Amino acid sequence: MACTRRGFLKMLGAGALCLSLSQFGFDLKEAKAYARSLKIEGAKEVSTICPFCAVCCQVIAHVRDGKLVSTEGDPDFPVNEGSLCAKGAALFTMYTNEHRLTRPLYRAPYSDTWVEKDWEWTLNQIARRVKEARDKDFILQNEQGQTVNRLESIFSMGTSHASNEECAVMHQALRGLGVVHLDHQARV
Amino acid sequence: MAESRQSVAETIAGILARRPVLRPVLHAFQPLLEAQATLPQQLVPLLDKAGMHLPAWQAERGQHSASVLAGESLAGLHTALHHAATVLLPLLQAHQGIQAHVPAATAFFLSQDNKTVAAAEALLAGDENTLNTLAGKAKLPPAVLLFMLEAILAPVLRALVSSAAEQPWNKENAWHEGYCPVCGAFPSIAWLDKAVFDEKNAFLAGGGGKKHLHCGQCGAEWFFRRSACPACAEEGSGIIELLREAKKAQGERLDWCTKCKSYCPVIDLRERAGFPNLDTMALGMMHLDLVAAEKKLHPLKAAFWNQF
Repeated sequence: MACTRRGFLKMLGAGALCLSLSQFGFDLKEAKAYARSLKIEGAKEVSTICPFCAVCCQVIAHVRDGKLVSTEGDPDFPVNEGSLCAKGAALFTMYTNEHRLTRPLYRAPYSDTWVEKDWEWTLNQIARRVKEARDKDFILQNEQGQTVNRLESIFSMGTSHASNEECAVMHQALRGLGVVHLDHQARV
Repeated sequence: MAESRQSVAETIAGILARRPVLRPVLHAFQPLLEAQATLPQQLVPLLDKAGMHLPAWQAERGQHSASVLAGESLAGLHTALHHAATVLLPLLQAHQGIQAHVPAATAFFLSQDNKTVAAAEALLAGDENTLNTLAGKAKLPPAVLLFMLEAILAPVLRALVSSAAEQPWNKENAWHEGYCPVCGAFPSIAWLDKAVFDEKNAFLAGGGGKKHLHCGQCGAEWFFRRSACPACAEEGSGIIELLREAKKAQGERLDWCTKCKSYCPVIDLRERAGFPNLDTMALGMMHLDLVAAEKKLHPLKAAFWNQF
């Protein structure tokens, strides 16, 4: 039945049985000229998920020519029904804010100046300092002589911008180092 | 909490303030739109007298995508259809293109032998052959018959829908289709609702934006998924695109399907004050229909203002 119904409706939609304004005697020259003069913009509605916390509110992203132009809460998603918290509502600025960092910045000890660095230098620095901290501070046993294999001088602050899979990899890496102090940006 | 809707005249005034170029069309059809808007109230007592009510919603039928009136006899609408025809025929006949068919149309719609009921049943059943046969016998072009039939049937069906105390098709996902849960027509326009402030969750922003499809035939309104196409039922991320006037849209836009290229006008109530008369608004957004036609898109619901 649905097929027949849709078929018929599409036939009607195609205008096979429909009068037009010109058949009513209207001259649409001016209206057409007006329509052509309009500056028309389009956007695709793409579903995505707010990255800020575990509630995972769904978001409709408006994308034009591959670029994000606006975001809104998805009214059809049962968890948020179109609403977003202050962070979720500001999601668009996460991609467009001019203050967003796009390259690593380094401030040396006792310096008051940030210096732009490339990723290779930055990752090498992080790896070297993590290793130094771990070699220096790694705790094999606690005061009771129990084996703990713990590192307390490194703290990890996670990000809600990371996916489940990324979080799993980071968690494994940090636990492998013995890091016990882990928290998440969405909680602060 | 339903917001009161603007009258046809108020809606037309709002449209003309922005698009005076549409004055000839809107003024020509204003009497018809106003009569269609007020007729349902007059028709309710006639339907009551005839014992005609909207059949009860059956969840199982709804789950099988069967509209309420699918397969139902409309014989009980005869008196109401006759009354609607009496009121509307003079308004319809005022239009060029209809005038030549006045005698045949009058004979058809004011006859006592249920021809209008048969045509209405054929329309709701999607029976094109019967419609063509009836038009042939009445010596009316099928397009003229359909235009007049839709105009006369609309207020009668709206009276039927308005007499229903609730909208069961909007409860607990009872209806999933892009066509009307009552009469089975495709929507003529859609609207996105405003945000509702929730005191218990005052820290939340936004909300609203839920899509309601509006049936231009029976006036029923039903929820529909933003990410799905009402015409082809394709659903997913990136299926629906919108078109609107840059920076001046005031919530007026077209949602079109990237799969089947059909479109439906949409009013986003979050971006404008007031709730316009939707049937008038569908006509008043024909500037976007013209844009859509240029882009080779086709309307979900064909109407005289979106055929070029």
